Amino acid sequence: MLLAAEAAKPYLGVFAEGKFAQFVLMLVFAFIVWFMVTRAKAGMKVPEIRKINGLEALDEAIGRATEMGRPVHFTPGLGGVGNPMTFAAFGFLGYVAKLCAKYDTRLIQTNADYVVLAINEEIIRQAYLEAGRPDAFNSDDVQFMSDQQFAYAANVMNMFQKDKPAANIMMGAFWAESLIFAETASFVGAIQIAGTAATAQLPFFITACDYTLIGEEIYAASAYLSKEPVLYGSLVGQDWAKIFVFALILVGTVIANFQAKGNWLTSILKK
Amino acid sequence: MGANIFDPANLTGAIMTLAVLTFLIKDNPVFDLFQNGFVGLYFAYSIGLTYHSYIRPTIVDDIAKKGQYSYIIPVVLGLLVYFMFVPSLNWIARYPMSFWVGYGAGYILAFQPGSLMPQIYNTFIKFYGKASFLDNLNAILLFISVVTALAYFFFTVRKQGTAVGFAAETGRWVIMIALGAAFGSTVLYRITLFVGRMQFLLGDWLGILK
Repeated sequence: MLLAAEAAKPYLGVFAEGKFAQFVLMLVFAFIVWFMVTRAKAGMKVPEIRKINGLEALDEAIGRATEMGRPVHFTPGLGGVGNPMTFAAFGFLGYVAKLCAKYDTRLIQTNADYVVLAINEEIIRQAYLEAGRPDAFNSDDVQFMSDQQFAYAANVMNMFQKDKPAANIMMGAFWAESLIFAETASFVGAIQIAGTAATAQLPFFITACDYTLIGEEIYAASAYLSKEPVLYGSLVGQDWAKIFVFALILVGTVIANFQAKGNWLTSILKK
Repeated sequence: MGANIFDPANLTGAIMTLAVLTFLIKDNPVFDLFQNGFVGLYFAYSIGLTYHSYIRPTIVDDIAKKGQYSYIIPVVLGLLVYFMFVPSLNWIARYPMSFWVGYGAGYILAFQPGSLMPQIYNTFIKFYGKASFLDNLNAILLFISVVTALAYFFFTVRKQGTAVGFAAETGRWVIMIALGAAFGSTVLYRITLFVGRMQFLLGDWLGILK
């Protein structure tokens, strides 16, 4: 009874506390992205994306592996399908697999999540098909190592020692195993491209890898690599959404410093 | 309590620790043996854990005893994944996968933005009236760091020589300083882990450290 009496009344009879503003913001973002995608689809001019060095180096890394006759290794980290970083890795993997198929370079793809494994296998199979090399796809190279963090890390270390990949691509959600991967790959002389939004692991990638995509950059990868107008439009839309948040922060800070008591913008955003 | 070199638990722990440390010299069969043993052990543990924590309670308790027959749907979906091993029918395995991807996208949309609002309004801070001058300075630094780091992630509107370009460049420095601090603290934590292992070897096992 007490709990029921204390429970917050839904805003407008529908929204839980703090969810209304979130819902409105989501609609605003969705509209901006839709608007930019529509522009791109209609063939109207969309702004250029700035250069992202880690993505520029991807062709170079796979080319190097091809010249050396050694494989390429790709890992999406430990994240499951509920993790946005894993979704970013899916787009990236498709591009890497297509390049590997084109150059006839072996791609070893390791996983710590069985659902992600199944999805990755389909992505790679599709990429080989699109590259016109379905016969070159080897499902044994898409491997489930272990769902336990350090058992997975130990298995990947073992693979590095035995197969000696010339390129190591790590894109997705990583935890403490990040440095184990990066150090071992460096030990066998692999060129490394890493990307994650896990802030605790970024310093390790920056110190041990040749190129690192920081945070939001991994979400831009699909659009950047594919050069497809629709994805480009979506990225531009996301950029404008960030500008909107940027403006909100500026306005909110001005109000906080000039309004004597409270902040009306905070009150709205808490609705 | 004195050290006991031949205590089975201590001895096993010590041999495994030393075997793993041999990797620092080079890859060798001893390291391989313990590495593969570790992977096998974890794998066996995972199977046992999954069976006793999920499979058995769901099928025996929830479905058979409590009659929660709706649980059969995820069980069947899960079993469909095994069709990936049947080349002529592997398309069936795509259905549970599609379900998972849809679930993942929905989950992200529903729960990930939850932290966005507090992050925005918690940046609305006063630059004055705090307990000390350093606190005021800290508030200003926080504001500058947030807006410049955000500007670094603008992919399309950044132009060299403009205010946004300058903010993005400052943001790059802010991010590097933050990551440097994170690196330092994590290295310190890793050293603590190493010290713990050394204390085990030299203290618990050999009894040299008191």
